[in-house]
Amino acid sequence: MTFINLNNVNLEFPIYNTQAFSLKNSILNATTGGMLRKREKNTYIVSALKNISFSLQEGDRLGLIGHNGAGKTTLLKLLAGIYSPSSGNVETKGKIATLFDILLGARDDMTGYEGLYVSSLVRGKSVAESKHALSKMAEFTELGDFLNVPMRTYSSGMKLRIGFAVATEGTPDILLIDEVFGAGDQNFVNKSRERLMSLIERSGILVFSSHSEALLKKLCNKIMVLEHGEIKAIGETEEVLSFYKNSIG
Amino acid sequence: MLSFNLVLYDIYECFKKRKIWTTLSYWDIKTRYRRTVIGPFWLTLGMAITVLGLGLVSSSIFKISIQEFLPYISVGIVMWTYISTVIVEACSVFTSQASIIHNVKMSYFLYVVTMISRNIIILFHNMLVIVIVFIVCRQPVSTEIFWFFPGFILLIFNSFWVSILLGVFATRYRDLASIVSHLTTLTMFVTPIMWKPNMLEGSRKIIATLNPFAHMISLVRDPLLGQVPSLESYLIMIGMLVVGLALSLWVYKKYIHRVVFWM
Repeated sequence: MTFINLNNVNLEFPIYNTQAFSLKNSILNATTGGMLRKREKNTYIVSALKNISFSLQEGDRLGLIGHNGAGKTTLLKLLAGIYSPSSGNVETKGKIATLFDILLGARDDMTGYEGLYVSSLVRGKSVAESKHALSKMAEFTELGDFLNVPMRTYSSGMKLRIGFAVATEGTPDILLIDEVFGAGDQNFVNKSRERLMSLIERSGILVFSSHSEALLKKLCNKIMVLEHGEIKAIGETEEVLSFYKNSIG
Repeated sequence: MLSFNLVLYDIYECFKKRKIWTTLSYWDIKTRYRRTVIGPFWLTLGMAITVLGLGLVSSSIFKISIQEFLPYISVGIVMWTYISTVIVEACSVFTSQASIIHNVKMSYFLYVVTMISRNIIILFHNMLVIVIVFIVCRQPVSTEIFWFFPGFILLIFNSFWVSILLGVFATRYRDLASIVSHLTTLTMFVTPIMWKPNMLEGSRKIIATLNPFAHMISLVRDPLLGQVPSLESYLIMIGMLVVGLALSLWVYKKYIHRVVFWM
């Protein structure tokens, strides 16, 4: 049984002011983002998520909406298990797949085929599953003989095809998507949209962040509005979307 | 803080997904030497040149015949190369995988094991140099060579805890990587690799007796040269392994889930 259960989850993280981190970015985000406070010299604490509680069952399609830095990506990473909460409980059951960065694990000096295979392993598929899916993924990319050529010769659109083919393979229980991406030529955009839709249909639970109301309406049966890391509203799609429209005026 | 069960689960996950890190470390090496004619044997050739060069210099400084000194120095440099590369790469073991860590949840041990297994593959390529040197120098091999295996296991296991500790703290404190890389260079000269411990006189002997790297190298070098390593060296390295493993697992439990925020 697939489920997601969050109980009173808070997430705070430190940002250290060294050259390795771009503090400028986090200050710029502060105007639109979560709460930022100074702890001690050169250290800032971001309260990225506050008092988040909700649960999802199999079949739920949750859309996340909110302005930049409201905590959508942070919440998705928390659900993926990449971030652990500072307090509260996160319980998830089921195989998780993420669509945050599309191309993952493949490197420029690998050929297209190798990129597909290694990327598939990094995304958590077993060796057998990866080998099995290889021809299917290869066919989807439509790259033909280019799959035998190192990826450093690829255009960014071609690399994206590799990443996308791997990211949308398989049947996850929980699918987490951060924004929607549309790149490549028109023909491929249509094809990849189809593939993405079928992945979403196969998945048990979808959590999906987007700024596009049309997409949210089409894909989701629940919407959550996030603001400064807090749940502003959660409920039926139509209801919450109209609330959101009113609130931003 | 993670519960200890989660630490054990991470270790289990790492074992369960062994196919993944063996594949990843294999690809690391394969792609690095792609389009070269002799491939990863560049590692072997490069090591052979280093060993020969340093062997020529050291044997003439210390006035020892090269035939006698080259086997000693070849084992020392090959093993030291493994140790120093692991130490230096440990500092970036998580930061170099930031893109993956930010996208999928995987046991952090997996990144450590990938790095170590990659270096073991490189070590095996480099050990070919030892074989060649031993054949050319007619170095006799005796049954004491079996003492190599416990030493080798101690070498590998000690690299785990060192990598976890350095990986976590070098992600948090970015100066650590530079400090470690400079200290590693220095350590090579105060460790009996290009010289022998018995060349030290009087109170200077402590350079070799207090240096844990000297004991570690001796555990894998002496058996190949037909000597049984000292019990003292075994005890020191076993002690370091026990204390180091406990410490690194504690650090893992306490800090590993914060690593992603430090990147």
